[in-house]
Amino acid sequence: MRLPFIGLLLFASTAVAQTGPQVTFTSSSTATNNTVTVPKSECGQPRRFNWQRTGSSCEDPLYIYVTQGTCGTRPAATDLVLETLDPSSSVLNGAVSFSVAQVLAARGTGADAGTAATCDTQDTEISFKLCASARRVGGSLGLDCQETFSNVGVPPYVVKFDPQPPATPSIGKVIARDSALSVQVDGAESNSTVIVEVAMVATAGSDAGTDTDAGTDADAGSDVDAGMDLDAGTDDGGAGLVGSLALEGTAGPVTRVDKASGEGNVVITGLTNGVTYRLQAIIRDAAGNESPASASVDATPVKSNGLFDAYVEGGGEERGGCAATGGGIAGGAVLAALGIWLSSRRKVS
Amino acid sequence: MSSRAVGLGVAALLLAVPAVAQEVTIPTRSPRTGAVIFRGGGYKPRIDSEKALQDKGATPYKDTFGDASLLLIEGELQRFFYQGIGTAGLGLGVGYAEKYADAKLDDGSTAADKAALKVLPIQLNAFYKFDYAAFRWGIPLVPYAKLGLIYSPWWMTKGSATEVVEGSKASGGKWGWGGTAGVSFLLDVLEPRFARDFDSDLGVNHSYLFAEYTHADVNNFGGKGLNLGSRRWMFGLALDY
Repeated sequence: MRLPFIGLLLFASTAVAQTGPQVTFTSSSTATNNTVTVPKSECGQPRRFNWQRTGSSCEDPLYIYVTQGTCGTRPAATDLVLETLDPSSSVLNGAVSFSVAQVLAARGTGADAGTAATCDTQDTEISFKLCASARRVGGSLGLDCQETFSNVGVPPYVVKFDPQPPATPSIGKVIARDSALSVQVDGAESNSTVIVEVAMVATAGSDAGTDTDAGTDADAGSDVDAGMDLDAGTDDGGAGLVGSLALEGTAGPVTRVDKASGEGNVVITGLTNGVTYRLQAIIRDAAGNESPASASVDATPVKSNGLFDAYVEGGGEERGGCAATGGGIAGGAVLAALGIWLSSRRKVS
Repeated sequence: MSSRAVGLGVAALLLAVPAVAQEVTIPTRSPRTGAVIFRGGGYKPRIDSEKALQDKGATPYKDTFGDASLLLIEGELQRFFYQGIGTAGLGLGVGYAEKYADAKLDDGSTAADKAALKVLPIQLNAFYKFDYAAFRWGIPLVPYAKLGLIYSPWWMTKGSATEVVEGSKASGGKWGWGGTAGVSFLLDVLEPRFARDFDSDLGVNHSYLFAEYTHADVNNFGGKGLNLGSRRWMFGLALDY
């Protein structure tokens, strides 16, 4: 009597466990907490998601779609349907891709009046969910096809379209340092990146606009071969030469140096003392939108003297060196001594 | 008769109690093989005493840092090779010192950059400490002396980079020697029971506070160039284990 009951129970629990399909999404896009943020500049760029399915739906197809509403329903006319899998389908995995532009356009296709938009007209932040919905097997015995759709997609990916560029920053202060400029940029929002572009001012007396001269330049423009080092600006991590597109009134290449907001001044190194440089700041938000450039500021690195400058100027005869050789000997001696000490240690504590 | 018996009993008890107490408090010293030392103090390198600088009347260290010293922090491991009338052995110490000041513009005014001197002295020394009196007669003062070889890597920075002047990079290493004399105060006498627990629990036989004076000449044994020697007082804590 007991054995058939146990057998029935095992059978029933197995049936209840097979309640329907499950779809697992993966994405190669950069996602934070399963949220893919899309800047305005990438509105038309497709985003690709891979999916993998286990189990089958009942009676109605399994839908993979993008919606502004909630997952777990039959797709609305304003949703962008990406994949439709019949209950008899044997396809267990695949890939879907869609752009924000497609999702915005789909919102206008329904008779129930979603508002269509384009990348240009959508000027506020908007989020979409990537969904997989299907009817599942359920009921008291776990054998009935349920009337309503369920959300069967994991994890819950969200595509957030952020078309708003950050506000225009300003350069609050430029500190002239030895072969470097330290730039304080105001107006950066948190989780954004501060970018400073720098280029050498063309010549003395050239069109410098109405920019403020924050430097202490004494002889700008008189140095014929003065220019910016090509490897300039590596002090703050993301930096590099961005080509010959000069800032207004400048000559030579423009260097971009970036730094996470909230981490202090942006320091541009590798500059030539006595040469005036023009700077402007840009903020790039987490989505990748870039702000308009700030008003430009001119500044000039100035030579300063440290202890070694004073020492050499005072006639000191030290010229450095021997650190590698001497340090190697000393380091080897330290290690050898430690080894001897440790190997001979017979401490009983 | 009974009072005599009680008296005998009390006497036996009184005799037994010290015996028991003595058995409990017999110190169980762990072997003593070395020491760990931590010390700190002001370190003012004798950079301005370099002959070439003195000939021109230049005082770059004073001009940059004034009369201030660097704060030197050192750690040292000692290994005892002789324990009889006093203790002798070898020690290996490593320290670090740095000092920052404003760099100067050509007109002498303050620049935005910071200038710094950084030194990492490494010392291998032989030492002797007269701790016989402390252990034998309970005099808690232990005089000691050290003589050793010193190697001091050094570098000078301006801003965030090592300075380069006339093509020479401001970094290197200097050899030298140093002698130290000092006196330690044996802390065990203040809390003998705590000292015993320290030994039985952690293996630390003795603890000392000390003050010492160091005479160091670190200029490649009289060679040209930077003089990182100093005359300095240091203070610290020593633990025998």
